[in-house]
Amino acid sequence: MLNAITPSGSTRVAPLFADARPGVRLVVVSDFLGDEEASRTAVSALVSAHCDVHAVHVVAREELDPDSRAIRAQDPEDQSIARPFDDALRSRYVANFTEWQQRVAAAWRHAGATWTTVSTDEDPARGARRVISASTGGPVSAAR
Amino acid sequence: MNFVAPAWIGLAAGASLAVVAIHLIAWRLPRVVVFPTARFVPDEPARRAARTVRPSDLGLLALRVGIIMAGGLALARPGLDAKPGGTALVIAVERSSVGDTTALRDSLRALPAAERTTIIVFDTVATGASDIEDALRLASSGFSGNASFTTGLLAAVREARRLEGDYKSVSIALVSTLSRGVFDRATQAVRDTWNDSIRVVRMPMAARTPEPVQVEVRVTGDDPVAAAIRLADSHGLLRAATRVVRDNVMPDDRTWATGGRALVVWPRANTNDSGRVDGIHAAGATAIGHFIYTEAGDSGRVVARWVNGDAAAREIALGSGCVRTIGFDVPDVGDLVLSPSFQRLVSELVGPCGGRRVDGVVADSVIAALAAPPSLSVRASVPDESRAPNRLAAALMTLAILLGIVEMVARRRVVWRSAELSA
Repeated sequence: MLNAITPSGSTRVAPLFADARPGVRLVVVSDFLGDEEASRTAVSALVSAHCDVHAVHVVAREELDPDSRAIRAQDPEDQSIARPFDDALRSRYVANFTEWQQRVAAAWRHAGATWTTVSTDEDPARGARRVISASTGGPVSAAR
Repeated sequence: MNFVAPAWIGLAAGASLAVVAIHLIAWRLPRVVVFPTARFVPDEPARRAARTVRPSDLGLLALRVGIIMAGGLALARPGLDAKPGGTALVIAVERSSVGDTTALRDSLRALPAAERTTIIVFDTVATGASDIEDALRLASSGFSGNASFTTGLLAAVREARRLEGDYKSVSIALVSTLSRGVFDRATQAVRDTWNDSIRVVRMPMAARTPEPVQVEVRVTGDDPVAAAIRLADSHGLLRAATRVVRDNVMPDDRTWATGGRALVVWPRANTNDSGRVDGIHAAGATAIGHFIYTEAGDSGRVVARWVNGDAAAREIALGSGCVRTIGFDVPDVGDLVLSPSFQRLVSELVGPCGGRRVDGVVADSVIAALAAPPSLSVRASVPDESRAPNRLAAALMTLAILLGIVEMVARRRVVWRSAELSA
């Protein structure tokens, strides 16, 4: 079902958490590039209401390990962001992205959610098992 | 196949190589890629464009090389003819040189043999002859009474230039009486357009039968012009068979003139025609006095002029003769017609058709200058027949233009395709 979806535009996720009933299990599958902070605040409230929240961060392989060829990187959610990107900028990009990823993961865990990073080139079943393992206290690691 | 200007092929090949090199090292802007995490890319201005050495748009490259090579080949002026070889001779024969047909035939046969011989017979008009006998036939008929060496020379040079594309060696021979009358001020300039020497064959001038001097004046009553003509005749100034008509021209007057004689129409002035003191010049004679203006017509060769340059008398050829119209009259009173200057003027106006003949042969130095090649400093050019339209070159240039149009369309499609890919 997810494979049939073509992502585009930007949708606010945080308002959706208002419909969650106390004590439910909630899985947030997102790239967390939108209203991440508002979502995290809402999730924090749900955790207080005995909800079980699991954050699944979906990352494309190209975002983790960009091609060395020069491109003009265009943000699909914000047309004003279009930046030249080549091998010389790669290491700084990876550093920026990793630092953001770690910071967000720490913030979500601090809010009481589990955090699992899933790559687009990972087998979905394996990814699902990792999410379940994280929810039951098993090891959480990104598949490479 | 041979080329008139093969250097253009080398230039086109060099330009094609340059186009290929530029195509292979084409610089292009980086491809636009949707990248959700673009915000983590350091925001720095583009420092360089991406360079690609991977050949792309090979069709466009082929079109561009094709345009350059087709244009270069067209400018090189290709020819499918075999390389020129052999010799050609162009002979220009003056019509008035046919006094002795046998001598002319012998002179023509004495010229060096060539693989291709072209004979041109000329007086004031050049006509091509198929062979020596045809040339003799043309030369012995229809002589207009005047000949222009320049006309024959120009026709010979043009024909020689045309033959240069087909023969390795082309030479010109001129057969002429070389009388002073056939030369004019353009002769030497035309001669200088042929860079090689010219074989000049001098023919004796045809023995000229003395023309009977008989000037008829048809007039009624006492007439000052008739008096002047009679006076000039008594002084031996007249030299042709001429009929002067002071009154109406009869049909048989024109018939009479077609036999090689001059009909002079010298109408009387009307009483209301204006007149004043003026000057008239004809050939070597000038008369100044009180003249009355009449109508000299507006066609024909001008044989006499007023001081201001206007025509005072005109001559129109009629068969082998001519009709001359005089555009002035003299008053009945006064002694102008008795003056020697007016009698000389009258002798010119009632002279033979074609004006005064210049007899005698040009100086040997003129003949030598005619025969010798012109010096580099005075060489001139005439329209070169070898530069005539080259159909193969025109086809190649057309091909280059068509390829250029196709290239424009193809380039536009490539731009559209790139824009679509970018989007």
